[in-house]
Amino acid sequence: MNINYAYLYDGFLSERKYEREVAALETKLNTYDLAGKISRLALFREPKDLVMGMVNKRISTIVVVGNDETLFKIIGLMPELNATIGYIPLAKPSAVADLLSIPIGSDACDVLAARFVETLDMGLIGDQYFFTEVFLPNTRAGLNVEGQYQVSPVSGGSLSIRNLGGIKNPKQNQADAKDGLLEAVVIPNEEKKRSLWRRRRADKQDTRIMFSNGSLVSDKPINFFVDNKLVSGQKIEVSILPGSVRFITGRGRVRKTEKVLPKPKKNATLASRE
Amino acid sequence: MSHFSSGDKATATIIAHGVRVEGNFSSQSDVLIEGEVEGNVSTTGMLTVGSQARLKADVTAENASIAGAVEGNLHIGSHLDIKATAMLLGDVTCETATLESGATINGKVIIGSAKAPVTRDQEIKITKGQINDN
Repeated sequence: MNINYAYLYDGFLSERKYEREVAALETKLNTYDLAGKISRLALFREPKDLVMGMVNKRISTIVVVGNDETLFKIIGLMPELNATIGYIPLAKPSAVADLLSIPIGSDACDVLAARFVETLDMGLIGDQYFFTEVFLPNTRAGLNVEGQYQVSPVSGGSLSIRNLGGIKNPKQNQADAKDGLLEAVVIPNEEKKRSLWRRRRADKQDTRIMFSNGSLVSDKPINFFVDNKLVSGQKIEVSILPGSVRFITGRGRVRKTEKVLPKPKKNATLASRE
Repeated sequence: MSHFSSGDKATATIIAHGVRVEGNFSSQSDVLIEGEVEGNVSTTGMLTVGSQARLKADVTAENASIAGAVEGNLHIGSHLDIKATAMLLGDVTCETATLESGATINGKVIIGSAKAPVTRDQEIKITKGQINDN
């Protein structure tokens, strides 16, 4: 057993349909001499307690096993810890795995064994860290950038604040988690069609602004998704924390892809780090 | 109010149609505006104002291409390209310019290095010189 590695399994991996995948994973980890202590996330176990326990035992690499939602539960704890994070996706959603060039299944062990560690940025919104994006669907809220100017959709639209994200327009660069900046993308609601023959221009570009800190501003409380988790607030500060997490990634990191996160669930519940 | 610099040189800033920016916007990269801006705009790169853009702002840029409506003064360090659909209400200063037929400009335009204006005494001397020559 490798004392420097610990594995956090998501609860859903206990289901029968994942038995084979988990067995193949553990065999491969043994082959690479990367097998370590395994802990399981459960409904009444705080992820923070599990992770702190690992760090207190001088474990230097914490590997999340599950899917992107499993990763989001843990990665928000990492900026305050002196540890490296790895990720083994065994199920969807796995858009973040695609972005970091980590294959799904036991092949992710190859990435772990290669141990290519990148220092990535994290975003901070209010008192919550985020790794990919903050998303406000159908909003009139504005983004105040460093108290100097405010950008907002004229007739409502969606607002994304991305640290690591996909793109809608392949002609635009993807948000990079190593540039020390956040990317604000505003997509206004399309004007009502006055003619059946009027079409949206194929090369229409979305509003895109790079910045390091700002605040979301609205007259009334707004609902938004932080790494796919529903949160609400009215005036919330947002900023970038450059180089705040060490992540084991694949060497051929994908730079252009489809939109990162799946559509947020309709019944997503409010969750807070408090 | 000091200007905030946003973005690095390689990443263009885009203000698309349907989006409004209010305040002092400055960038060190190229800027493309198709939406509405109220305040001030400055960039050390190339500024492109699209045909659907509406600016109520003083504009400062190294180079610019204007195809929309700008209500405010333009200070362009190098080249200014005024398209046929451009409507400028304000003073324009640039080093060189191209102007397409159809563009509307209402203001003072200074292209090239500004020379000192001719004084009244200089005008009289010139006139007398012409009379003497005749």
